[in-house]
Amino acid sequence: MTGQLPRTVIEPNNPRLNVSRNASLPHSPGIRAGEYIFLSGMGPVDPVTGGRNLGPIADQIRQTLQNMEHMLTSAGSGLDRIVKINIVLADIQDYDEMNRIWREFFSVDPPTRTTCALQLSNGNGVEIECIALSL
Amino acid sequence: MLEYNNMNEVYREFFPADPPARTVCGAKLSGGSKIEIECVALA
Repeated sequence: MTGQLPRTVIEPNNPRLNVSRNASLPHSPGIRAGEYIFLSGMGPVDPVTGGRNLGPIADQIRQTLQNMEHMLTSAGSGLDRIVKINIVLADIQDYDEMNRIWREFFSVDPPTRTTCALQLSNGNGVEIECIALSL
Repeated sequence: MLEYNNMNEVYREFFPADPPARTVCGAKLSGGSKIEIECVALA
């Protein structure tokens, strides 16, 4: 290999979804490293108001995956280019419901995935991070 | 998860510009640790 792999910050086109910037948090929405894209954990942020959508878990997961799609599209990638997803639920009892929503977004050749239940910030019922390929 | 704000305060000292992507969760840790951190980096 010649030289360093480039490392650049990537941000959503919709500034309302730039949670770390809006809340002055010390992390980037995503980092591109060569042809790989690493996204920070994302939650159910409303793309119109920038506030949290803390409704039913199905809505939270749908919103988070739509936000993830926006982030990836902003970086020249997409949901179909995701390699690995880590999904954290606040309550593992939401596992079946999560899979139901999952199938709406990943009907063919879904990404690898790990699921667990942990304590989340901001009252989120779900937080999702991923590693994807650029197009 | 109650340590979230304390964590961010210290975190800022180390990543003042273009910080890495990140996910934070609260969990039980081994050895009595209050924090555990892993990363992916470029050479």
